Amino acid sequence: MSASRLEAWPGRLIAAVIVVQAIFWLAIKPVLIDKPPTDFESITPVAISEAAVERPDYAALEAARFEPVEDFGAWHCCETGYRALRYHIELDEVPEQGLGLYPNINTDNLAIYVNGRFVAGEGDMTLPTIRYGALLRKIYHIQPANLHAGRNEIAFLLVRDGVPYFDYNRPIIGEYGQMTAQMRSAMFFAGEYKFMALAVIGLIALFALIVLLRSERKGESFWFFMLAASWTALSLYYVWIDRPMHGAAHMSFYFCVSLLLSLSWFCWADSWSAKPMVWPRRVAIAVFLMLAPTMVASLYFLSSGENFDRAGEILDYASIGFAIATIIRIVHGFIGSREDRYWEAAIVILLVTLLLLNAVTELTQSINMGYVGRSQPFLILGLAIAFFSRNVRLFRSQGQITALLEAQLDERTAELQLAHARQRKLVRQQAFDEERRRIMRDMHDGLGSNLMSMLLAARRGKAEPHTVAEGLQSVIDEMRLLIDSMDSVGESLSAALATFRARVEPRVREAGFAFDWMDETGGMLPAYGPRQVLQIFRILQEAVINALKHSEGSRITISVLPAADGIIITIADDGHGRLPAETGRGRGLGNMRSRAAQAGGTLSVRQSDTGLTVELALPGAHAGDEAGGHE
Amino acid sequence: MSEVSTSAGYRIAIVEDDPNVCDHFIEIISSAVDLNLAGITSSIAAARGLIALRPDLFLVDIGLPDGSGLDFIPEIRTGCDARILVVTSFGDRDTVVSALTAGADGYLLKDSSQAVIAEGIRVTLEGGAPISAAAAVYLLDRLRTPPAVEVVAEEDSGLTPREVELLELFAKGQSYKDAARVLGISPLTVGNHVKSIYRKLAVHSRGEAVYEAIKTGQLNI
Repeated sequence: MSASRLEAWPGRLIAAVIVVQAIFWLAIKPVLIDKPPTDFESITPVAISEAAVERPDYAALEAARFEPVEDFGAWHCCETGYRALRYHIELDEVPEQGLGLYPNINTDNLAIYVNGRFVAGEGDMTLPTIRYGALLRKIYHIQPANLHAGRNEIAFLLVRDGVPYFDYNRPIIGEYGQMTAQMRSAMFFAGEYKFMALAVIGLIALFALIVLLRSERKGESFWFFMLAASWTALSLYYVWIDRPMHGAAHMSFYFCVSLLLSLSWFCWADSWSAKPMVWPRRVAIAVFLMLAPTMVASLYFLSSGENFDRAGEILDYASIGFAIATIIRIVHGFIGSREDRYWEAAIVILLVTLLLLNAVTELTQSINMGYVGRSQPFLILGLAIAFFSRNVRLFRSQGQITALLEAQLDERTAELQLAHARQRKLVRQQAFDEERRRIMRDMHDGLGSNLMSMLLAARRGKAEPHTVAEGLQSVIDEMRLLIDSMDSVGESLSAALATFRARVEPRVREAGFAFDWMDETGGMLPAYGPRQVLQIFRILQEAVINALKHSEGSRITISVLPAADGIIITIADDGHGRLPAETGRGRGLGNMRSRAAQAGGTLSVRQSDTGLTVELALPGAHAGDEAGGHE
Repeated sequence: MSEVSTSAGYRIAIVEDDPNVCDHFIEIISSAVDLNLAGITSSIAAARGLIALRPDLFLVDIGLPDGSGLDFIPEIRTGCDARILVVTSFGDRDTVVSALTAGADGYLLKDSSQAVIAEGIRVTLEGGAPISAAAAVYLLDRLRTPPAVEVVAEEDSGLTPREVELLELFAKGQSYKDAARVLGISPLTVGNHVKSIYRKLAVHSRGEAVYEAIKTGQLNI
C-alpha cells in the first residue's frame, strides 16, 4: 500500500463505520427491532392481581391470596417458586376465531386458565425439574368455546426456578385472526426467526470448527468458532425447553455463556487483526476465568434476588469492558498496519456498539431492548461470509481449482523465465568479461612485453636489425594467436592442430630444420573447449619457437599420440638438450607449465645430450573441459 | 623510514626480467644524482634477497618468470619500509587497480621518459604517488561517479573539489611541482591528494564491481 493509502485509513474506517451504522439504524432496526404499530385494538385487562401459589394447579390458584397489581410493568422479586397472575377482560361478543393472547410475562413456564379452564401451557411445571416453555414468546390461541360475552377471567400459573424475578408486562389481547395477521412479523421474530438464526449460526459454528481443524490461522478460526458457538448456545437457552439444568445451574449457563460471548468478540478481534498481539487474549481469558467462577459463586451462594443482581452486574460491567476493549483493539489494528478490511471492521464495531448499548440499558433500565438478540445473527453471518471467503478453498469447483492452478503455474513459469533470462545474461556477461580479461592478459604477457623491450632497446640504440626482426616476428606470432583466439581455431583441437602444422612447418624448414609430424590418434581427439585449445596452441607454438631459437639442432619432431586417458603431444628437437634461459622474453618453461595446468594437463621436459623433448599430457575431454580459462 | 643518509641518496631496488627494460631503468637511476641502485633481480625468488638490503623504493614488474609481482608486494611491505612502484607496459584500469589494491604506492609505465620516471620515483619517495596526464584524464572521467555506484560504495568515492582541480592540472600535463605552484600548496600536499585519489579509485572499482554484481543479480542487498 502506498503511504497515502496508509494514511487514509482513519477516513476510510470512519466512512465505513458511518455507512454501516446508518444502514443499521435507518434500515435494519426499524424492520427488525421496532415493534410495528398494531392496527387493532388490544383489549385492556382490568382487576389485575397476583399471588404466591402453593402448587401448580388451579385449585391452589383459587385458594391463593391475591394482591392487587396497579398496572402492568410490575414485577415480583425475589423468590423462585409458583406464582399466579390474574385479570379480567370484557368482551362484547365472542369473536368467531376466538382470542389471541400474548402474555408478555417473564417466567420460566406457565399454564393459562380461561374462566377456570386450562387453555394452554407447556407441560411440566412441577419443581424442581420443570420445563422451560415460556422463555420463548408466542401468541396463545384461546378457543371461542372457552369464552363468553361479558367478563372473562384469565389466570396464569407461573413458575421460576432460577431467576428470581417475575415480570408482568402489558399483554396483547385481541381477536385471533386480526392479531396473528397484524403481529405476524413480531411473532416471526419472537418465534421462527429464533430457530432459523439458531440453525444458521449453529451451522456456521460447525463450518468454523471444520475450518479450524484445517486452517492455518488457528487463532482467528478458533475464536470465530467460539463466537458462533457461544451465540448458538445462548440462543439455545431461550428455546431449549427440556434442558437438564435447573436453578442456579441454568442461570450459570446463561451468565457464563453470555460472558464467553463477550470474551469471544474481543479475542476474535485480536486474532482477526493483521498483526495479532496474543497477549491481550491471554489477559482477557484470565479476566474471564476470574469472573465466571465469581458469577457462578454469587448465583449459588447469595440469597435469591441478590444472586441474580450481583451476577447481572458482573456480567454487564464485564460486557461493557469487553465491548470497549474490542472497539479499541479493532481501531488499533488499523494504525500503522496494512489493514484494509474496513467493512468487516465496521460490522464488528456496529455489533460491539449494540453489545455496549445492551449492557448499558441492562444496567440502567433493566430492560432488554432486543438489539443484540435480533441483529447479532446477521452480523455474525456477515462476518462468516468474509471469514469463509478468505479461508475456505474447500468448496471451489473443479474448474475453479484448475484455473487457480493454471494461474499459479503461469506465474511460476514467468518467474522462471525471468530468472532464466537473467541467468543467461549473467553467464553471457561473465563469458564476455572472462574473454576480455584473457585478451588483456595475453596482450600484456606477449605483445606488451615484446614491444616494450624492443622499444627500449631501440631507443638506446641497442636494437640490431635482426633482433628487431625477431622481436617483430614474435609480436606478429602473438597477434596471430590473439586473432586465432577470437577466430575459429578454438573450435576444435583437430582444427588447431591443422592450423598449427600449416603455420609452423614452413618456418621450421626456413630455419633450416627438418620437420616431422606424427599423428597416431586417427582423428580421435578429445573435445576440448576453445580456451583449452588455445592454451594448447600457445604451448606448442612456444615449444617450437624455443627449439628453433635455442636448441641448435637440425630436426624438430612433433607427435600426437593417444594415451590411456587422453592424448600426449610431444615436441622434440635433436639439439644440445639444455633448457632455454629463464630470463629474456617468453619466460619459457614456467609459463608453459602454468598454461598446461590451465588446460588441465601436465607438462614435462626430458633432457639429454641428444636433445630436448617437451611433453604435454592432456586428459580426456570431460575431465579437462572447464579447467582452462581461470584468471 | 629506512636508514638513509641523505648525502648518499635514495636506494632503489628493481625486480624486472626483461634486460632492455632493466637497462632503461639502470640508465635513469645512474644519471640521477640523488638515486642509487640498491640491487636488481629478475625473479621473485632472487628479489627476496633485496628486501634484506632495506632499500628506499622498489620497482616491481608484474610479469615475472616465477610469479606475479603483485603477489610479492605484501612480502616487501612486511619485510621493509620501502615504497613500492609497479612498472607495467599498459596502464589499463585492471592493472592500475590491482596494483593499488595489492598495496603499491603507484605505478609507472615502462616506456615513460627519463624525466617522468625520475620524477615519479622522487615524488613517491617523498610520500606522494606518480600520476601521468593520461591517468589524470582517466581518473577525472572515472571518479565523477554516477549516483548508482555512489549508493553502493560504503566509503566515499567521490572527488573533493580540490582533487578535481588537481587532476585537471595533471591532465593538462603539469608536473607535481607545477601543479603545487599553481594551487599554492606544497608538493607533499599534492602527494597526499594523489594517494587519496588512488585510494578512491580502488574503492570505486570495488564499488563498481559490487554494483555490477547487484545489477546482474549475483548479489542481493
